[in-house]
Amino acid sequence: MRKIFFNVCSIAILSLLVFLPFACMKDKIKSTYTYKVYQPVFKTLSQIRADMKSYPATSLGQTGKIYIKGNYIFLNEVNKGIHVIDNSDPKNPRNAAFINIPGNMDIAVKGSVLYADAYSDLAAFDISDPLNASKIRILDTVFSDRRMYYYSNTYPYQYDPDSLKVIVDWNVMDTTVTYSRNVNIYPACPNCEYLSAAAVPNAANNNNSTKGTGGSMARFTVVNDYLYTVSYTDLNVFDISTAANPSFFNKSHVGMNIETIYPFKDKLFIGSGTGMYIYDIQSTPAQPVQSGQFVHARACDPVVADDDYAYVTLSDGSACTGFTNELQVVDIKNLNNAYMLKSYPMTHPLGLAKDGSTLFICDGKDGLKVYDAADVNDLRLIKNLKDGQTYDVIAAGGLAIVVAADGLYEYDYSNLENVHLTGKLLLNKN
Amino acid sequence: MYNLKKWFAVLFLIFLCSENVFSQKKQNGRFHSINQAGLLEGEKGAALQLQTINGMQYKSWFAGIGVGLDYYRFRSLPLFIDLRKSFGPVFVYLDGGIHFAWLTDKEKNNDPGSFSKGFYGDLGAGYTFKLPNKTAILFSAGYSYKRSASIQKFPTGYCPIAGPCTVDYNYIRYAYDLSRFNIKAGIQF
Repeated sequence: MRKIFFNVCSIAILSLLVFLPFACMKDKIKSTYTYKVYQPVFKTLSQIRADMKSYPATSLGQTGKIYIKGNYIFLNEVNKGIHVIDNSDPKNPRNAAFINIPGNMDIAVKGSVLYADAYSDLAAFDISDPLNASKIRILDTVFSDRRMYYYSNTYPYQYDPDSLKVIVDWNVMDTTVTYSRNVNIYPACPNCEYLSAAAVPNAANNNNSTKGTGGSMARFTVVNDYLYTVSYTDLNVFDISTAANPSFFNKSHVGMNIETIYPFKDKLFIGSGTGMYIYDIQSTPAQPVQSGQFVHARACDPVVADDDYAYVTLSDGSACTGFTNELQVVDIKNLNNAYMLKSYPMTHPLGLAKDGSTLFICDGKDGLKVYDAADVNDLRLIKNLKDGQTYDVIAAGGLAIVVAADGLYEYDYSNLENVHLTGKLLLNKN
Repeated sequence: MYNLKKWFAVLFLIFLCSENVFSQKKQNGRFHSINQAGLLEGEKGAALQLQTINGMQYKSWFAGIGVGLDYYRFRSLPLFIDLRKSFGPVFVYLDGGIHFAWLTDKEKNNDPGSFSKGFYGDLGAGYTFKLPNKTAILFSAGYSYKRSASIQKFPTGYCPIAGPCTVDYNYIRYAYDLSRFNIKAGIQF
């Protein structure tokens, strides 16, 4: 009895010793939120326009769309300008100059004139000497969906370019905040204003020697005497019969979530988030007429085409939303009855190109895929080149130029049995 | 965290010093397996725990290695060293080690972040009821602690249509310091 009493007392004393410091059984959950604060850097619209000119080459900070003219590659750095890359030796592409164009995303060329968007303006540059481009004309506020800076002023709105302030860059600061767990952890999107600017113009593809070649992600394209651009909802037509003196001609509503434009012969193929529109520009090139439409699941969808088929890539996870990742082959022999012939699963396909019966697809992290598309019902993978996270491709004359997240890659496909990397230019390298 | 580790160290010293005061004769160098289940009670409520501890007894001391399951707030697998000292049928124990998060699907929905391993500790006292064939039933109560951290990352925006996807990320780090009272019952072979 005495022994049991001793034992009970022992337990009580030891338990007291153990638990005294921990009388309060509270869980502590500390949340530390690390995020980036984007502080805008402003310039007046007048300053921006005055600074649009050639500068010595700067390192590649972020890749965008591409355009090829002769031995030069014009590589857009999103919202910054255009890197001019001397590609006379594809084994050793050289970053040769930079054209400063704040707000730029798209490019097209006719003759020696380069057209570029600069936020809501269209700027024309003389590129007779691509390393020393000079601004020759600006069309003021022709891309109305990118004129957000007009609305950032206090009402009544200012329209004086000397007082209009435009965001040209962001100072990024890492910030850490500690708080209790249950506060709202979702910050305001620091990029929203920046991203809302992402409506825009892009690319082209044509065999006319006075023009260059654009990628499938383009929203600018040149066909003969007209520059066609697409915005979020509209197709814009510019008269460039006098290349150095572009003028806005007209605008027509196409649909919602318009993304890309691709010319083939007398047709314009316009990719949107929900389908592909086909416009005829043969009879009235200044006023394109819709001649066909193909509807698909909601997704991003650049498109290229040949006489009989259009090739559409659908991808998810971006501003386009959607859940589909595949290549769709659309039969367009009868434009009034375009239909999907076959689809092929992909990882995250974006830009694509076609040269003869060879099809090139940028499949995101899976790199560049090269297919034999002689039989569209049975595409045969020739090679999968996994050098980078690919975005867009231009293929012509046995050379495929690919934009990837980490730079520019060039592949020789003159021998399809031996497609191989010939040169590259990576980010942050002159 | 530092104070907690200090307390564990102090109690470990008390363990060692108590040898001269309460030492009793025990069979030397004998293997034991302790298998026990219990409840963890903390701010979040009650949760199950399971443990198996295997080691050697020397006189009134026992040292072993334990593994278990801890379901408090999120499921984890503790891996620890167990030291215990007997004073007749009464014993005190001290566990220290690490635990690895092994989240259930439901827990992953609540906190989809990547969890890191963290410190695990348990100390307390108990009572042994001897049974025939050198087996025994153990009851114990104590304080248990587990620490962990999870990091969640959130994209800061969309993949833009105007270029390759170069989305940046923001991060939230949750540091969990979980204190629980625990009671356990088990059998020792």
